[in-house]
Amino acid sequence: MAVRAQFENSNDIGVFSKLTNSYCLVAIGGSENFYSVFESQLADVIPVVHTSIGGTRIIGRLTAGNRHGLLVPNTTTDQELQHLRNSLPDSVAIQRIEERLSALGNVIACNDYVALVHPDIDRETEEIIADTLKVEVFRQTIAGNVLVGSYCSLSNQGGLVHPNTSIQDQDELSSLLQIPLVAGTVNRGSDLIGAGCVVNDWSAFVGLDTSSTEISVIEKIFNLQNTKSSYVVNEMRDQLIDSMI
Amino acid sequence: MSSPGFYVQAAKILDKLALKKTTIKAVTLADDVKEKKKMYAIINETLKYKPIISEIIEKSQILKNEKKLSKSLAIVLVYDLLFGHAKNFKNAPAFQKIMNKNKARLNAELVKIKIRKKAVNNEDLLPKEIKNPFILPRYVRVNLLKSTVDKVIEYFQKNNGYELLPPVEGKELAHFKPKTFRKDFHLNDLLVFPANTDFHDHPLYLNGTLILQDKASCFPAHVLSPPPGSVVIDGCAAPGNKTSHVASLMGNKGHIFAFDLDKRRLGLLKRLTTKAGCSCIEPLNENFLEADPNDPKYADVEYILLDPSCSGSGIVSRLDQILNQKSQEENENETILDIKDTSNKLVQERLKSLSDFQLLTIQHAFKFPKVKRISYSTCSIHQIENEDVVKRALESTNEFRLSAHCIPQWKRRGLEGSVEHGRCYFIYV
Repeated sequence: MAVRAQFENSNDIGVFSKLTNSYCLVAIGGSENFYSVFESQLADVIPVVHTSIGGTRIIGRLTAGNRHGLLVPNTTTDQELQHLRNSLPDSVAIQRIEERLSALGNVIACNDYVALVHPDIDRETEEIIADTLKVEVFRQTIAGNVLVGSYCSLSNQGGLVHPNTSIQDQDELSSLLQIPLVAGTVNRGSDLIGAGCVVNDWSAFVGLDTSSTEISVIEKIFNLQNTKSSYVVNEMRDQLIDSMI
Repeated sequence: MSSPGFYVQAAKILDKLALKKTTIKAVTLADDVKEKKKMYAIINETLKYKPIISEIIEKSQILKNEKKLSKSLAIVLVYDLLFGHAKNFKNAPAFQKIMNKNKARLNAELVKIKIRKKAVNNEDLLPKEIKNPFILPRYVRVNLLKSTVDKVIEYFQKNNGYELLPPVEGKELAHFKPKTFRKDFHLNDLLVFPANTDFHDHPLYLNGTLILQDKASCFPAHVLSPPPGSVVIDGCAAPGNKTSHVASLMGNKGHIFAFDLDKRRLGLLKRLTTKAGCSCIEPLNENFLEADPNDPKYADVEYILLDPSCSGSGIVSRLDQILNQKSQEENENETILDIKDTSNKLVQERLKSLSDFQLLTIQHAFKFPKVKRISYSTCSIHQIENEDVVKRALESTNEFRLSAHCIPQWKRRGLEGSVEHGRCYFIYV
């Protein structure tokens, strides 16, 4: 199920949060409302961590990550890095990157297997992305936009891309990513998909303005209808049995 | 896991091969190559994938970013990175840094190509004829002057642990287990082994008992099958495998005149036939066309074997194919002649002059006073060099006719009653 949320009167929740299959980062805000929305959905399964990056709250745009790792820009302070290391599972590799294009969330869009990146990203950064996130890296644009992270939202189940993406581009991206894609909007017509919607394989959060039509498209493409129960049956059964014994 | 020098040398070899003046085997097995087998393997495989690698290199712009790399060095390194076994170039630190920096990009380009071509494995990217090359089994002729077929079979069973299977025909030969062998279905002195069997240092090969000769080249002597004691002419003899085959069938009794114009190749013939233990062969460094049919020397000649120069279009070689693969850029300024391309004017002219020469040799053979039987063979797939030559030869004489039933077990006959096996045609008089 997709859940609506708002960060201090802003609908761009993707700017202030980062969601993956093994952890969730949220910005430190004036109130705990935003944090609570995430915690109520995720706290049983993955850690939800308060953090800032380089003293800012726009953590979703500055970081990129998946189940295997988290990439942070070189503005990240040592203290923040230490805090993240302490809070995230040991299996998650954290890497600070020296990259001119420092808004990593805007220039990298990834799931657990594939990353799409800004065409001008540094070669060394490309290698670090491949090694840390354990993904195949492709230089791509989405509907002519170089900021791939801003204009799409990906999980291992599916992806939502910029509304102007041509069918041909969608086919190409879809075959690169090996997941179904759909072109759509969030926040009642906004094309900033990455800012309006954060997803992982079993949950999604969207801006408060998002219409129910948009939500139904999102739930469909990310395979979120009734996944809670099927996730419990299929994916979490082993863990549950372990903890019951 | 190879040293930097290995890659540099491989790159140089690729450059040499690009000039098309040498062969893969000649350069990779040259004396200055240290790890010959490995070099042969990497060159062979790299050439297979070369069009794809070139595309990857171009799209990833690696040459722009790494000024130190030459194009062919990049090709070798990219091959080893993406298709080979060098995951990290441990022993070549100089290249390790460069390749690690570009690994993700190169890999991405490969994946994109794979997706575009709908390929699951790397092998699926190769064109069909290279991915599934037509593999001919390894034919070995037993030299009856040195041993008998049964003795050789026994030797292989006892000393090499081979298993003898019943003879089969045609396509069934394609599936051949290692360590097994068969007698040939058609020719009694021929054995068939799996395709990659290595004989180059086998004791029986070294002492001349076994002769590595493809089945197609064994037909002419069998078609001719002169009885022991006869006098035979081999019109275009070098390198001498067919000549020694005739000698083997004649049991070294009789006389064979082996003509060849090329001194060097005639020397090769002498070496080969001596090794095979043939004593009845008289090598002549002369033009068969200029031999006088009325010379008393040739008065008793009854059998003539003709295997004249031809286009060689029927010779199957996998190595040719991979060398001739071109990437698109090369295609545009392609000037090299492909002999299999009959639409080309130059090729047509060459075929015409070859067939005229072939016709002359047959017509010259007709002139020998006592000749009873002529076998004519080429290694060409073109009708103009085969059936047409035979037809023209027969039209010019009424003393000879086409034999109807040479090698009756062989079912495929070419056009107009000549016989075809791969590239083998016969007239039989």
